[in-house]
Amino acid sequence: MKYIFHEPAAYCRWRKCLLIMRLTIILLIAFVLHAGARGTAQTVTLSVTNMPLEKVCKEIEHQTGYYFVYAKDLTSESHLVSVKVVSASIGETLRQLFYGLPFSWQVINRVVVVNTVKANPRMVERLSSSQGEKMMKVEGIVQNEDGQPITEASVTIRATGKGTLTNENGRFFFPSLEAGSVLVISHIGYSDQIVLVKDNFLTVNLPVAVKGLNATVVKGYYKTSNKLNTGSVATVSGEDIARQPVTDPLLALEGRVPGLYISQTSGAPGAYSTIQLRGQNSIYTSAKPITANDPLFIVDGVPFSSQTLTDPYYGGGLLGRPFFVGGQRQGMSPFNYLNPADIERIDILKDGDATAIYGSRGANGVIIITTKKGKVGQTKININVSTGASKVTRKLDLLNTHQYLNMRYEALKNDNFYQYLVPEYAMYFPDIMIWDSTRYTDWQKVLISQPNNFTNAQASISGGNTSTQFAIGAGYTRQGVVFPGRYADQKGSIHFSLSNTSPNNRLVTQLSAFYSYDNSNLPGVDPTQNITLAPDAPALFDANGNLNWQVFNGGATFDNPLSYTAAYARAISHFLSGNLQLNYQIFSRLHLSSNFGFSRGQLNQTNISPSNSFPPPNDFPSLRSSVFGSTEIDTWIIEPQASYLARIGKGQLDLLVGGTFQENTAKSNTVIATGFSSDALITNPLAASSSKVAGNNFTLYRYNAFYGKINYNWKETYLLNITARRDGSSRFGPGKQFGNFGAVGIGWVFSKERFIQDILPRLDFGKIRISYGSTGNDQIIDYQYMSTYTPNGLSYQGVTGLYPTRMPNPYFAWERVNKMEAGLDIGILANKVLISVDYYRNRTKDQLVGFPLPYFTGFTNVQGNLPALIQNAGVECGINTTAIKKRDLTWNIAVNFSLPRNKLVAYPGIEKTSYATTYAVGHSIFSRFVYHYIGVDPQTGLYRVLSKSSNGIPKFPEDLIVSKPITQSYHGGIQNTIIYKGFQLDFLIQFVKQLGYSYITSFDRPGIMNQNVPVLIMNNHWQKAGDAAVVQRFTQGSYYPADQANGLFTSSDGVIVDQSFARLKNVNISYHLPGKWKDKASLQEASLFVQCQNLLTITKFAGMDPETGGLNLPPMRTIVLGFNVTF
Amino acid sequence: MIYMAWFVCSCKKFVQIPAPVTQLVTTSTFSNSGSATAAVTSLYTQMQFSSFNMSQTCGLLSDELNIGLTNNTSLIHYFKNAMASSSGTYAGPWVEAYKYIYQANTIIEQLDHSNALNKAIKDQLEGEAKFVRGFWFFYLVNCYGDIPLVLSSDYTINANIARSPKNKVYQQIVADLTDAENLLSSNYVDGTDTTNTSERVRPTKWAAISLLARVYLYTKDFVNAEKMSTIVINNNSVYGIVDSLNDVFKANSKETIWQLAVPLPTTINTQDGYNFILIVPPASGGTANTSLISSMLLDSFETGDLRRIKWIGAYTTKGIPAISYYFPYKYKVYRSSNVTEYTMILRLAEQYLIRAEARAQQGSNLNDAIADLNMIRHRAGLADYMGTIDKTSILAAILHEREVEFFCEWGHRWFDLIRTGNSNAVMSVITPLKGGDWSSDWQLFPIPQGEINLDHNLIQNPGYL
Repeated sequence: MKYIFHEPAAYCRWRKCLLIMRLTIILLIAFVLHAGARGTAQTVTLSVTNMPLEKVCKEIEHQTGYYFVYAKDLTSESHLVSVKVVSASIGETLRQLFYGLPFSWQVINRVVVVNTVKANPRMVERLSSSQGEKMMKVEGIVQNEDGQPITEASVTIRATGKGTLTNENGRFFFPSLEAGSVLVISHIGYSDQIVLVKDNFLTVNLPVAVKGLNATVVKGYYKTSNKLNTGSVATVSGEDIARQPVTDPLLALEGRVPGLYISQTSGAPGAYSTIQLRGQNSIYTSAKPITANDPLFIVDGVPFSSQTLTDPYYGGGLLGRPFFVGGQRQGMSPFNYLNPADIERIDILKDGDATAIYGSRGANGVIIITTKKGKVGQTKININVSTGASKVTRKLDLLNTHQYLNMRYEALKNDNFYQYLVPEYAMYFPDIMIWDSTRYTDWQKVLISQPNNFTNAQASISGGNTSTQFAIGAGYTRQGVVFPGRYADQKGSIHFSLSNTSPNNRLVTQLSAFYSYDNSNLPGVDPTQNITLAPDAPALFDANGNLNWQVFNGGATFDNPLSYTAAYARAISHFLSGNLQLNYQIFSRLHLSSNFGFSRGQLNQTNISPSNSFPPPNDFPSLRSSVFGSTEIDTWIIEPQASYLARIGKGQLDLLVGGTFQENTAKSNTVIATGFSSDALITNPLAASSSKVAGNNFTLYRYNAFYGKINYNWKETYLLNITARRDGSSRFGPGKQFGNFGAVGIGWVFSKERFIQDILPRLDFGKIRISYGSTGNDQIIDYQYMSTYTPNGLSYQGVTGLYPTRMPNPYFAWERVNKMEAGLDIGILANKVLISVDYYRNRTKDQLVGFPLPYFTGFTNVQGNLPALIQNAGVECGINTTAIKKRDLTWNIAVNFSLPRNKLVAYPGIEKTSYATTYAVGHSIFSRFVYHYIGVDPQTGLYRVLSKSSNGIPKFPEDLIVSKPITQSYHGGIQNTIIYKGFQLDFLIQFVKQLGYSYITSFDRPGIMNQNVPVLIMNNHWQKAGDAAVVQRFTQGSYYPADQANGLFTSSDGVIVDQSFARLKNVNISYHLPGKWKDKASLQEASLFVQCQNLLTITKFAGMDPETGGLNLPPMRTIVLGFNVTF
Repeated sequence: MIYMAWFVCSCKKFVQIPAPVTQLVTTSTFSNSGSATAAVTSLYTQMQFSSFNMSQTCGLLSDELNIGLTNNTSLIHYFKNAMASSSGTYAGPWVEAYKYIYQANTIIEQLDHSNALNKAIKDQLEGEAKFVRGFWFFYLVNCYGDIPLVLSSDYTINANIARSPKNKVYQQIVADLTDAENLLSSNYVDGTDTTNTSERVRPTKWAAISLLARVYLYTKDFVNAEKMSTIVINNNSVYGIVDSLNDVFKANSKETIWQLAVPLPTTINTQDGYNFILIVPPASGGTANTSLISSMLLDSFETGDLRRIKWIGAYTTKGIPAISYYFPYKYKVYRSSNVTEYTMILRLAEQYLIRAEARAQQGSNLNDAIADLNMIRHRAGLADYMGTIDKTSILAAILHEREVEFFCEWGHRWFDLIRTGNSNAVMSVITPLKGGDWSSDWQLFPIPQGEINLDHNLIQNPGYL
């Protein structure tokens, strides 16, 4: 693990992280030692008393490598045995073991077949007589628990490793098989079954594997199982999502997946989250869309754009404009259009092997969302209703009026401004000279603590027979907000899925679609930023209920934070996504399939500002304005594909070739109408004296790819997965459109090796996987290579102007990410503990970045491939354990842990670019060039930063140092599920170790007019010469040295502070009604539940919330109560 | 194989997309007169939106404006003559000017290659592009001194060039404006480039000559300055001094040589009007409605000067005592969607004062210089110049007249102080009053530090870090 010690100074920070790794290693070593002591091959040493028979058999399996095949009643705990043998032969051991028990046994080719004597005496007879000689014709059928045939299940003869596959009817056939052979039947997503060949016809039922090694892993165009996967994939189940009172499914992933870091940017319903899967691969610049570092999202086979629909020109609603504001993206998150209740599972693809099949689009990882499908069985109706309320997680302790005025007077005194406290300058000091200084208002209470309501109602019907299954779901969610006024985000959605298998089982058709409607009237501003209003600020409404502006001499003396209540903002979104999958089996093992997908997102925004929403004087007709914006994004995709499956030798070969044709079109249009003669007419653009098209955008993106995959697994022990593809993107100029990508993944299930079994008999499963691959990235704004002019929508002499759109460059090409990964998966204690550890190293080169140009060339950047090489490396660890599994009590614990590290490895010529003072080679791209802060000068009371020059004046850039990375140094989560009889308790603890910006940066200089600050600042500020203070002298904004010192302080490492936190992210308590009650009400299932999100936060951070950082609405603590019934 | 080849070809076509329907490929922009004109006139639209800062910025730098008690740091720094190279705020004129110069260069290059336009249209558009390039080089050279002389749109050529000396820049300006004089129409044209109009919102031959007159004055070529201004003044069928001070800045007034129209639809008339006019007491933050007329400027008007009354507005509080705040009131419209005023860039009064100064400098015809000066004094309600008739006194009178005629208008005062060599004498008194320290280095703006980081051939102006 040497790789992580880039810098010795950082050692301390790693200790905690290493602890978990160390534990893992100790655990492993213990096993090796343990095994070494008992590692004999053909003889058995046993000493047990009253041990269940099954356990003893297992132990013998471990010691000898023989297999036991037995009937189910053997496993019942009633058979307790006592055996004592030392270096005994297998025969001797078995004779002792079964003495006096109602079983017969027989050793055939290292397989011990055990049978109940009474149940099948003929069987034993036949076995003993047929040993090694009798050959028979064997056929069979493999089906799932619903009786549907399972095609292409692998049927392997255990003794030889050879085998076959089932056909489209789930049938298999061996022309000649030794009687008594043991067959292992396996299929992705099902638990393996071992059967003994006793008759000419066998029926095998495979149970679905929900968790553990056999569980399905969705890798995009194909599926595999945890056991056979060569890549790094994490899965979050629909149940885990359903337990959380959130409307955005991304929020349900917070803290659950190793390597995935999601943080909310605001607690407002529908707000964006920041998503990072294994760090940031690309330098962000204005020439990239803000989604450039997002993973690729696929919903039921259709690419899902993480780009907001919010109009790029005039955002409506709180969720504002989709640009980075204060480092955070704004606009309504498109994930809000997905109904968490419709989601069956989310698979997160991380390494080169897993993402290579997505080529270009998978550079930042791939997140595959699969919606619920119908299941065979009785038609089920499920209803789930919950309701609750939200509160902000944290509040600040701000100054009261007395303290505030003291601060202001001190600031005025410091700045020598007392002389201006005269009527002539009253308007510059309204908080002292105009407002009622006896008033006190707790603005946090007024602005972000209002009662609200969260309601969620979901209903679904599903069912089907063996040929056709269906599922229909509908949902309604209303999420209120803590601001004054009736504001909410309401969402209605419907989802369906239909699948059919033709009678000959050759054609499988699956159609699924969902539609959602979102109606948000959240205001255009976040009132949280106004909690810093002076505590003596006037009442927000006058006696008549109108907005109060505390007018002085015709002008407002403050910006009323509730001016949004006079305005009106509404965002209505429609989102439709449909997907048809056809799969046809031409002849045995060869499938042709095609995926047809379409999605359409549409957002209409209205933003109306009547004159009374502006501060007086507001009697200009031209002030009144209405903004109407609409955005549409259409995507279609066609993916033809052929696959072939074969048994070759002792292995299984999987071939896949396919292609993708994708087109995205985006259109947006903004109309601004102004000059209404009256507020009453303001919603009608026809009443405007003028209206203009302020924005009109159109982009077309086309993407095309061909790919192939070869997968071979030899005896489920040696795994090889090769993917290759050629991608074309319309974002590159002629000749640069296509790029080649590929990956190789190998896996070695070492627990299958005899010698490993001998050394590590307690190891149930062990796999090492290594992968290397390259993927591309074309996440830039469309058309960057083209030289074009764009209309500016403004008419000059009746001619609408045109201006050059960009500095064109036809020569840039694909950005490349080379991904390397090594992983270890192990299962111990009868696979009750599954541990997975990954090391990855991703390196991005040919960065597609706006190449910075001096202003005098006409544009500030030109799109190009930057020579920067960025590395994201790290360790991820996931542990799933079943701590307790008893009849009435089950306790599952899942721990995940991520240790990401980012580094700018190389950037030749960086000193000649504008990045020279932004990024430092050899450091993380989250590090910043800052001054080194050395505290408040006790004499002057000003912040001081370190300067090399003799006069003490810091010089730019000579005095800059590189800061620590302002990002997460490690993060993870601990998920617990405890089930006791009808009760279930789930809780998730999320922990994040990170650096961020101090709470001081959320506030203007203390002492400024109408700017309240935390008591913490008041208690720690400089007052007189000699004070050792944390905060510099108060200033009202006109003492130049104080402004300058504050400027230096905010660009120093003094504002970089620990922003770590641990959070009880989610708690779910449910009670399942006992069976007799359900029977009475003829219900299949009924439960009551309480769900809480963000219940408790532990942090040293002194600001609003460590997740959102600055002064915006922190994440909500939501508590809901509900019930769930199925009948 | 053939099938495969066909398939691959069709895929290449699939990802080759046409230009977006909302944009126009550059070469086709200039193969059609409508779109070519649109590319040129959009320059004026852009200028109308962002160039207003010139009046406020230079007003703060000189002795014209005061900032009250605003806490807008960048205004404070202008006011105290304490600009910093590292702050993006002071990059304003640089960024704007070079944006327009890039577009002008593109237009000149594209028109050169375009055969689709008729000569009259092509000449007019090329003339305008050269005029705009010369115009902005003029402001750059006066703000920054030596500057990168960017004459093409190719960033691979331009990205690393060094600053050219002032005289070389002025040579280019004269060349551009002379070309423009020859290419531009002598009548105001409308959106078709060939039909005459009464709207004085596109540069003409006369605009080019007027700007040449100014350039010659600044470069002390007084013979040519006189010659050029005379040509404009003699065109008295088109241009004349407007009698009423309140009508000077109206759209298409007779004094107008070139104005910028406000693009329609609009909620304001001119950025200066919206920026300067106070309808409430001055604001403590922001850029608009923060600057006030300084006492120095108020005191410099002679008694009875109508400009003191008509061109300076006052906002008086209703309280006791009533307090008045003074602001530039050349433009009368604060906000309105009904357009009556355009942004004035070149007007005839300047040509009279240019000629007066050029004549006085030549010393041969001082009476004619006084006659030109009196033209402007009469309109302001003032009597004839009564001072001594010697070159120094007359020049001082002309300079004073420029101060009160062109206050808060495109930086005239600030540039006059510098070009006449008076800045050190004046500002070493004024700057301390404003709370700053004067150095002759502060005559020039700092080159934005980011530009020096990107182009190592650029050297910062003296005095700046």
